[in-house]
Amino acid sequence: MSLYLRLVVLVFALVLSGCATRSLDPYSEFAEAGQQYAKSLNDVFDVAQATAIDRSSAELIDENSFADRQGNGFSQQELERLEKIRMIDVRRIQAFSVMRQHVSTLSKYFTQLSELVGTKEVSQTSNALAATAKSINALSQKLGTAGVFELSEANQKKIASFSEYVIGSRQRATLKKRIQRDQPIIQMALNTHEELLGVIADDLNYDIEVLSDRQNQLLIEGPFLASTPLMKSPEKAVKWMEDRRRLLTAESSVLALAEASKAAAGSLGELLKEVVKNERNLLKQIELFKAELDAIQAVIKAFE
Amino acid sequence: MTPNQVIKYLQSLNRQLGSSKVRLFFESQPPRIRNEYSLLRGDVSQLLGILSVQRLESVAEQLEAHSKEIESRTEELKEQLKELSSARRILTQLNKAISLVGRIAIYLV
Repeated sequence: MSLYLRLVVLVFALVLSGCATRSLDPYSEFAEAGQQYAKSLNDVFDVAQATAIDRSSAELIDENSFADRQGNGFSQQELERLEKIRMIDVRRIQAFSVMRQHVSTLSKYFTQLSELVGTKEVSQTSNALAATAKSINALSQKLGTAGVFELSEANQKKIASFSEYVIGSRQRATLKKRIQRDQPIIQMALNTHEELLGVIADDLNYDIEVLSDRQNQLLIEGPFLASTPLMKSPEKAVKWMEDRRRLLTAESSVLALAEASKAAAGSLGELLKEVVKNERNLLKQIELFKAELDAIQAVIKAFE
Repeated sequence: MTPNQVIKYLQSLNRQLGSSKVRLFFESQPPRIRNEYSLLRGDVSQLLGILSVQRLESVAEQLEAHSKEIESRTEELKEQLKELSSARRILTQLNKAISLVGRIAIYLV
């Protein structure tokens, strides 16, 4: 097929397509949602790790308060207690570190996906194509074959726009195939996330309950049962009220965090299925998913 | 009993041992009994800590296995991006070549 004929076909196809540029938005949004999910997961790990260490510290303080300080082996007994719990906390930190590395790997995957979705390459390639068409045009004029190869300014622009459409469509197809191929792997990881978030939710519930109990005994019951009533010390009474409110709120927040993060893992799995099956409702579902991630961030802020 | 059931049982036991009523009771006991209570709670805390961490480590291991697969997929994505970049490079080179031919053509025509 001659170059002229090819250009005619190209321009004809452009007219047929109505200059439409199909959007890569759903894929872009999906990649962005994946990155946000990874960030939220990391934040949940931070809260879970800090709460577990605070809980073990609170328990150490409480258990230590009952130890016989006049006994012979007091110091050794308490140092051993401290070391045993330290070892457990160190192992927990290491386990969270492995989980963070996994989340970082997942985030890199979504970042790479996002770069492939990015229109930079599409526009750069189509610009290069347009420049080539312009050069051919200029060359044909110099060679005196202008009648055969000549392209108007408008048609050159149309070629650029059409090439962007063609490359964009090809990229969409590549992306869809890519995500379809990777879906089982990502889905398996998401299933493990759901299991992990179930474990974290269970641990968090316990940690917060124990931590809350200890803080309640220390900050609420202690001053409440003290020989001097709170009514006689207004400053202490105000602090007591603030502590009481904070403790009651923290307990309900952690339940919300555990539920929301587990739901987010499930939702990303659903999004993944939607990407490879049907793109029509994808953007709407991504919006809902992002709202779930926002809810997680809101609860995390309550912990700060 | 499954590990999860043991964890649940120990969590419940530890909560009861640390409850305000039990603590108040032991606060009025002689130092030796108080110390026994403190040691018992320490043992429960330690056992529970070990089991909980093992449960986390087991899931972390599964995640590590997934990470390897995801890493190889990320590398494939990078390769695809490179392919797209090289297509653009070829077009840019072609464009330069045509411009060069154009400049030479001026002398030929």
